[in-house]
Amino acid sequence: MSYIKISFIDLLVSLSLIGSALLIIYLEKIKLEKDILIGALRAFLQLLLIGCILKIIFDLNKWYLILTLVSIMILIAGYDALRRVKKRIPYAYLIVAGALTLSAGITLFLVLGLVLKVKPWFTPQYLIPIAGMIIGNSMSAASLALDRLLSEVKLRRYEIEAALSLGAGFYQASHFALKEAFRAALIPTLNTMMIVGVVQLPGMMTGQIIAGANPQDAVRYQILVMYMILSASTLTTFLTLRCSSMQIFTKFHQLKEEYILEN
Amino acid sequence: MKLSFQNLSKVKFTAKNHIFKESQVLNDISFKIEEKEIFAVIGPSGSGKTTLLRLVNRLEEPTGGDILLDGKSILKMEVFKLRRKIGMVFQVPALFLGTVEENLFYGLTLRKINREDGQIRIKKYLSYLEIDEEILSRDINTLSLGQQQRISILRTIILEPEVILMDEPTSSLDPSNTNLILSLIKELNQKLGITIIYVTHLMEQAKILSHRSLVLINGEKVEEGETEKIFSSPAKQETRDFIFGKLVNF
Repeated sequence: MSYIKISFIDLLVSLSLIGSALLIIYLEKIKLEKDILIGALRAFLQLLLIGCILKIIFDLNKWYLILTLVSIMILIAGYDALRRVKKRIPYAYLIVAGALTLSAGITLFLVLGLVLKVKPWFTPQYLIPIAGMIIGNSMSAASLALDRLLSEVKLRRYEIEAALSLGAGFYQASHFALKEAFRAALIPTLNTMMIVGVVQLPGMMTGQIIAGANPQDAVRYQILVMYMILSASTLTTFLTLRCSSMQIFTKFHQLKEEYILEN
Repeated sequence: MKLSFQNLSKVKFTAKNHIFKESQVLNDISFKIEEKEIFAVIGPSGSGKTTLLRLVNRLEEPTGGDILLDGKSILKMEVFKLRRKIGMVFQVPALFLGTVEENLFYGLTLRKINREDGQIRIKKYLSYLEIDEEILSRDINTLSLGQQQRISILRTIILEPEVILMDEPTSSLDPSNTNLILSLIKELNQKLGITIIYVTHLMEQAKILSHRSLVLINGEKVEEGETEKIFSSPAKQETRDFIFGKLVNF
């Protein structure tokens, strides 16, 4: 495989792209200059840092180091997923991090073990980027699901309580809210699947093509990636919603008051 | 089915900006409801009437006291068993998205009543309430608010509970629909012998419907007794103030 390498000087030249964005923002008095500069700097430093870490991990090629990195990714993703959720539920972090771990574990086993048949299973070239894609997308799904669940519960409290009084258990009664939360979590992934290849070429496929891969091989990888993201997001959403709905009700199948009242 | 309320209390905590506020919603309430009666709980808004009903259906737990159903504490009963015996109709129809039939089947399915028996039961109550069967296939969004509330009551009745809790079910209805609902409640009690606890802030409704009443003001029991007597000669000043205040409002 051959591709054009980017030197540090090339990267400095690419700063002109940020410069042009800054100029427009400045002239239009949008007042986003600081955010753009911080964003550009953070992206630069974070990516350089992860590049160094990945290089070390790739060179050492030890399974425990690779799993530690994946675990850190999950721990940060759990935190990030909840940052975007307005209201708190008990054990939310544990629920989301647990859901991410389980769905990443199962999906990685299926993709690396059964589809790609990677040997050894921890080969970082495959495990790390694939785990990153699974965790990143599942995290967004969990975050959307949880946020929507809490707003739907408040919105549909009468339906939920009517269902409870008709004899439904908490899970059946919260189905009205769960359904909407599930849809909200999966719609971004489904939308991407609908337009992939037609409107945009996804990042991984583009990366492989630039790295010199045969476009037909790159496409096959991308198909696998789309399926795996959908599957992992669905499983994460399911686990997150199932465990979260337990926290919204008491053991006597009563909707907890703090999720009904105005904040 | 008799209900006995014993020293019932409910304290609620609300948190705003990390400051906890405690409010006594119900304070040491004791009274009894006899079998097959319509019992009205009356009082101004915020007096704890809705909370009282929610405690009976165990949508909330009391902070003190107990409610006995035929001598047995509801707090020791399995919650599903309790909710089978005691149905609830809310202030708003609270129907589920879908058709009327789907709504009516919701509780029947939970009770594992098969489709055929369910349909027989639905038809029986539809004809009893003189509602055309054509309504079954209609989407709930095409119904008027009055029709929706009647379906919501029907959804509870077809499960044949022994007690029905009604939380101001006519509050969003116009006078003609209100009258329809009120006569329906009377019929349910007279023909089917269902015990009804009816919460309202409207004294006229309590007078029309109930045999006995409880006056609840600021979470305190002010008076309990025959409805007619409470209105004709209230024993307490608070009751007089409440009745008088309402009369002025009219």
